[in-house]
Amino acid sequence: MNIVKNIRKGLFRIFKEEEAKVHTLRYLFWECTLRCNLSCIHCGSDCKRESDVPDMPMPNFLRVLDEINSQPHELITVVITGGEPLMRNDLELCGKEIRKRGFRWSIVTNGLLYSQERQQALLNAGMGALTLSFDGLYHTHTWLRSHKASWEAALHAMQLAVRVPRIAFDVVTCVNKKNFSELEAIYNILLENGVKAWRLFTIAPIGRAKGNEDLHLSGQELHMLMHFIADKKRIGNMNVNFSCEGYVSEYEENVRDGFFFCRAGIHIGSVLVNGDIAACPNIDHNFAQGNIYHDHFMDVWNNRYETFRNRKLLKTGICEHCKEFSFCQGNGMHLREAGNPDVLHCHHQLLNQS
Amino acid sequence: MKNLYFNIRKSFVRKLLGFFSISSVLFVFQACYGTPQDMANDVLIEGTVKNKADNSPIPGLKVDVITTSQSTFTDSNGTFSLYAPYNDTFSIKFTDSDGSANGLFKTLDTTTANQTHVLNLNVLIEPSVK
Ligand code: SF4
Ligand code: SF4
Repeated sequence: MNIVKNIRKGLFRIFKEEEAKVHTLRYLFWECTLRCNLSCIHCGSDCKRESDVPDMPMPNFLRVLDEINSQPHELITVVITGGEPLMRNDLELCGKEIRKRGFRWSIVTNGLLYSQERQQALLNAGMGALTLSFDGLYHTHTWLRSHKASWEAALHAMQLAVRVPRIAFDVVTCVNKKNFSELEAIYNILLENGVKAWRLFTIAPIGRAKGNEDLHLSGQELHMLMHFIADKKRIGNMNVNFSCEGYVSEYEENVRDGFFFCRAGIHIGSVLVNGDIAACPNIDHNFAQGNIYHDHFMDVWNNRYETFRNRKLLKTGICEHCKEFSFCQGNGMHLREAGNPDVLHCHHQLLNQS
Repeated sequence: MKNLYFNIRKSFVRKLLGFFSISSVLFVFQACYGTPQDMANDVLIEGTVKNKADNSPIPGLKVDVITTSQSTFTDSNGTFSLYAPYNDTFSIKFTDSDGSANGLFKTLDTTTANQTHVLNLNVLIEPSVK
């Protein structure tokens, strides 16, 4: 069994290398605003502090799509993120213009502004996918999201979204010390409400989460989380997955629908609110590869992103002599800091400590 | 020609590698803070609604796409547009929802066959005499 898994792992490694060479853009984040109606303890973008930053005007982003338009783009999903994208009153207008250009689009939301009317308007504008944050039972969710109405709003948003088969919908949960014991209860709430896909991620030591011990799991807790996800996957009532965030050695393939693959800069690009051209928005902004106000997006996509595509450049610090490097490739790019040879967080190491 | 052959072979080899190593999730993925990828089919339903009597645009008319339980309203130019999940036929209803504000009109029920991703409708509606 292990031999088969190892052969598959080896083939997947070659597959990743080939994908990095071809680097077809499939997923484009648009950080359309930094305004947010919550002030989450773990937020990587530190939205509240930066809420004075103006939203990116729609025409500026559409110009980027027109630059990408010369290539096949029917399968590219524009993931509109923030901040909270529903804070933008012109979100539906933006969405419709994106869809008219042949791109698909989706949003990530905390649900506070999600209503029946808003859902109708988003659907009419061609929204095809939605991700909702739901972080625990009432007290834990409201603690993490720092807002009393946030839990009920998220539950209501969930109940609205599950009713629409058109939307590829999933729920995400930031697993931390406080909601760890509630995972089974959260699972039951999702199941009762008809949610079909649930993605769990741990909180990286970046942004506001840095230094808050309540947010980070111990090695033993991470093991337990892996077992929890693997069990639920086996049962099959819901498509439960560990997020793409990191390499989890012996649990690879048991907790996701595939092996670990950080696709940042390989299939994933982004346009940040200040115009920076980057990959996932949670990546250190010093890794930005260009800016839409000076560069042509496709020139940047086709010719830069070297660190993202040649992962040997991340074989530094503790990764340098790591036996797992060929599979892990220095972990998720959001766990790297420009100029720092060490990875900020190694799931494999954490699992092996306990 | 040689390049084309090379590209096709390369893409085939990539797919084969992916298939043997991860089966069904070759290209369906999501980043931690992202969403699932949208792979569904949809149709842009758009058009203009005019007064049959004088060909003037009718604003504020409710457009119900019964097939998909969606609705919208015509704008000041009598135009409307919305995306709906792909269907071979659409049952659409036009209703005067604002009373006499923009004139009074009869309700119109239509069923339209569709084979494309853009369904363009130009609709004429009779005024209603009350
Ligand atoms: S040390 Fe680096 S390469 Fe090795 S498992 Fe950890 S992050 Fe991955
Ligand atoms: S940077 Fe992080 S979130 Fe983005 S693809 Fe890599 S692991 Fe996933």
